[in-house]
Amino acid sequence: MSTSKGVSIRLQGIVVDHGPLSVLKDINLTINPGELVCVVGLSGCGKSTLLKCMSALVEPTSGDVYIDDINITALKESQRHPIRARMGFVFQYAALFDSMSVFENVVFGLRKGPLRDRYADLSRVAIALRVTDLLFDVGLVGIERRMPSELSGGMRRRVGLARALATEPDVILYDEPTSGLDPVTAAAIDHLIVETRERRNVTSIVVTHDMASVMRIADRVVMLYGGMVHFDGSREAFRDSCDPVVKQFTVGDVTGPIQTRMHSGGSRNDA
Amino acid sequence: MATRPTGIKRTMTEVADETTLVLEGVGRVSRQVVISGPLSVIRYVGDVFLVLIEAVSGIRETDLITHIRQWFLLGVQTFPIAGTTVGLSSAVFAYYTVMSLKNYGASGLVGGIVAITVVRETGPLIAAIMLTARAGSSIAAEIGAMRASEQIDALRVMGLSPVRYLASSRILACTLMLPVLTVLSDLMGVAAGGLVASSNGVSTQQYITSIRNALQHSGSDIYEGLYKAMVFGCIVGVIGCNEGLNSTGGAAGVGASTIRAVVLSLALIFLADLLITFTTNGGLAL
Repeated sequence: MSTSKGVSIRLQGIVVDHGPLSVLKDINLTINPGELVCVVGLSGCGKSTLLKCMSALVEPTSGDVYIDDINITALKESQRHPIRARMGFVFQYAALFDSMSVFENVVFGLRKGPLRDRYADLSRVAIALRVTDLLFDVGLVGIERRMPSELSGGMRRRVGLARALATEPDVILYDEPTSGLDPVTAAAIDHLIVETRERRNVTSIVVTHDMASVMRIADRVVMLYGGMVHFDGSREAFRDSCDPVVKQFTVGDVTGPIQTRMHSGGSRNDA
Repeated sequence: MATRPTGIKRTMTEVADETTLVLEGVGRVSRQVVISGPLSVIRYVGDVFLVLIEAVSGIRETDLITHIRQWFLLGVQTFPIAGTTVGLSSAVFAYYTVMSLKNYGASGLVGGIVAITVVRETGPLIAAIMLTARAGSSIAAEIGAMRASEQIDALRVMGLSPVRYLASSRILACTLMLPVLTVLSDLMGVAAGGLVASSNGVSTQQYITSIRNALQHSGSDIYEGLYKAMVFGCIVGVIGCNEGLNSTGGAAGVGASTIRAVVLSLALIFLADLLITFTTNGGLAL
């Protein structure tokens, strides 16, 4: 497995509006090569949207996203393909291809798309071994021939993780990789995320609600609140923060500055 | 709102306010009809052509197995229903025709009339309607569901164009398989017409002779039918793919995009039918 030189990601003045609802308001963030950043915040605060902005799956209303100093928001869709091919994306609900088996899902990136030439020399046996190893790493054995519809939600998510790791990306974007998993499997996935970063120096951005996971893996924690970056610092600083919003979030208290009722026309955590 | 006591007239300001509101409403509707409506049509047509161009350029990138799978799914599996419906409608058409011609003692001409109608019009049209119902809706629903479950995003993040990967093979399959379906459906239609004609006193020899005399020996009747079928097939494929790729709003959105794909495809097929018929036969003065 090759070592990545890592990829830097810079978000500059990102604004995302969905109709009258402003999801992200002026996000400025720089993620350094090889860094493991956890993005936390309330449900619906725009964490997944932020992740999709980083991979240009969502077009920001304004602002720019730089991947290694290349402004991908300024590129045409076809010009983004080679940049996206350097990314792995673990989707919240796995996004496995329904018509393909687990094996076909995991090898998809090796056989199709811009990276297929890189893996063209791999024999069928080598590819099969690689898939088995990847599935073993995420705690799955002997399910290569099963269809996604035959898997539980947790298994699907782990197959999605194996698929993202298959192409040895330089940056991996994880959208709630451990939600809905039992604590042991969640810890194993966390271990895999850290190990992947340490082994290959992969830039990793993890969107999560799981505070235990944040404390296990994060180099740095970014908290979104009111569509903006409310906190940006180390996990220790996050844990020990006296900021009332951060404190309420980490403790999980109902009372505090964070509004717990949803209302239309704006996200519930509008400051 | 409190009701005004009877006998009190409205003030000039209130009348002016109401007039302003009415005028604003008229302006809004006019803007919608005159500007936003045509603009959204132009935008939609532009989107469809962009999808078509990208899909055509991606045909060679798609492997043969994927193409063959789509030919089978969209073409071969549509044949039973397309052939049956063309056959049934041709039988009814042949019955009415032979009954009318009997009054003039010209029932022997039924073969030619049925053949020309089936080959040039009802064959490709009914086969296209069946392809829309079966394949167009399935394309829109399948791709729409993929979009709702983020599979389209998964393709994009792996550096693949969803249009090239998903639409190319489907549009090609519809465009190539509908002419094949049309030929087979035409045969079913002419055969069904022959059965009805023979049961109404027209001999098989008369029926075949009439067909031979009526159809152009250059094959232009058949070519026109096949040309129509190719255009109709392309419409079914590209509209189905475009609606699926632009589906929004989860499961309900998938349903809505499927309905749009079917309705729009059918409307465009009938429009294209009219245009092709008039342009290939010398215009309205025909």
